[in-house]
Amino acid sequence: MSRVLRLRREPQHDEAEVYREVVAQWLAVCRAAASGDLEARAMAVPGSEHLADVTALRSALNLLLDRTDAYVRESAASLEAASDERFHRQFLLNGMSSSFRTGAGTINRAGAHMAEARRGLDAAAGERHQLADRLEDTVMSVAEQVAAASTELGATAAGLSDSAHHAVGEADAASTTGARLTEAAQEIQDVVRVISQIAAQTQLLALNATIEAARAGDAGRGFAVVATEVKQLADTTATSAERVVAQVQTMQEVVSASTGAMGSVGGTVREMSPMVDAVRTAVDGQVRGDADVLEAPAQGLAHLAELLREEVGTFLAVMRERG
Amino acid sequence: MPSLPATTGAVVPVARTVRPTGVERSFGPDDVIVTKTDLKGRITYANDVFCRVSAIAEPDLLGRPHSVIRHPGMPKAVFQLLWDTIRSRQELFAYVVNLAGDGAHYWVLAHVTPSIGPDGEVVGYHSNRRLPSPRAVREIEPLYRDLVAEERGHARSSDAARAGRELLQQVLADRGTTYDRLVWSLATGAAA
Repeated sequence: MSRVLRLRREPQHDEAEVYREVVAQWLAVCRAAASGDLEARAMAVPGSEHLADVTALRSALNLLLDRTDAYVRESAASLEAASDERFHRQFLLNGMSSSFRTGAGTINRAGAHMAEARRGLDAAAGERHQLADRLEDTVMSVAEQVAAASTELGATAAGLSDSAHHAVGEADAASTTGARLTEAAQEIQDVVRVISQIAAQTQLLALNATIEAARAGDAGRGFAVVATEVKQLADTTATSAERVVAQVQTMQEVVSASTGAMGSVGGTVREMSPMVDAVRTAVDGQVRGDADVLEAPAQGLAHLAELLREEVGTFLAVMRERG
Repeated sequence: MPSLPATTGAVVPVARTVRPTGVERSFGPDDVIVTKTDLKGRITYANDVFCRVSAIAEPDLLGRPHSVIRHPGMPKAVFQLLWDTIRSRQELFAYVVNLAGDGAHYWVLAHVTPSIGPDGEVVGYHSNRRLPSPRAVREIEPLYRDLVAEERGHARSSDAARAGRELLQQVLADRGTTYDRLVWSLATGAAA
């Protein structure tokens, strides 16, 4: 307040003193700016208002400081914006001339390049996502189909295995039946042999009776008829026994052939069983109760399909994250 | 920091009830209007372009609040956005219509930034104002008119600012943009 009043009472300033004051104050401003303090400005020095050169110098000095200040603020802010990917924020070129404008243009071009690079990265990420989607679709579809096919294959193999076991059982039963038939035929032959012996002895007895009847003359005529009848009966019995033996032999041959065929079927089916089990192992993995459990358990087709899906899922998650 | 001349402060008589005359003033496309303020928004430096365009002499500006050139056509919501932004140490670009000392008005594209001291603290604020394109002004004027009309419906200043801010956010959300993006789209002629 007192200084203002003093100024009003003493409007006359010594010109040289005003110049010295201007130099002192504005030199301090220049030194502050040179040290990086761009807040300092040349303020009006009392008594210098009518000095045209001083006023012009102040305008020029402040314009220099304002432009430098603006350049520093704009370059820092526009580069920060570019690094934050706010590419719409550019270096405003108004008020920037010559070297300032060239520098500003360079910064804007750098920002434009960064924006373009960002767009390229976004496009690549988009393509990667599309690729990931396609891969996922394909893998999921394949895994589902493999899982469905392996379920069906497993069921079929299980059915086949059961049928094979059943067939082996049937073939064994048929062999047993064949053996029993052979035994029965042997017994029949034994019985027929006894019958044949009895028929032979009967024939011999009938012959003797015929001779004795002839010796008896007319008294033995009736007995001779009976003896002839007995001989005929014994002949028929012997013939029948021979036919039975022939038929039993034929039957034994047929049974033997049938038993051989059944044995062959059983053998073939027994050979088939390990193959069916191998199919089941491939589909379902290690069958429980297998001897070689010390080995790492074999992984079935369905399990492998699931494993593939999990692995691809992990891969896709990483692929998408990097976007 | 520059020392303020002794002729500023309460000594300068404040006699300013300027009425807008409706006269629009312009300035050169390479002119930059520069002011610096302290943390409370009092002017500590104004360049010669500011004095010329605002038609206020330098001694009448220094030490005065920046609101000395506030135009009634400016929504409170925009100033609130400005203060919120620079107080969080961010820069702000805004279209602003200012009232000159002689009642004329002039549109600017203001770029307000905090000035950071040697120890990293905010020591004041700095504003560079450039000439906006006529197209940008045509686009922004109706939005500001709506905001001011909304704010006038509220007696308390804080209610008015809040209502204006809500309307501004709604309009920006409807357009799918932010104030910053809207300003830049108008400044560069690109889509918001």
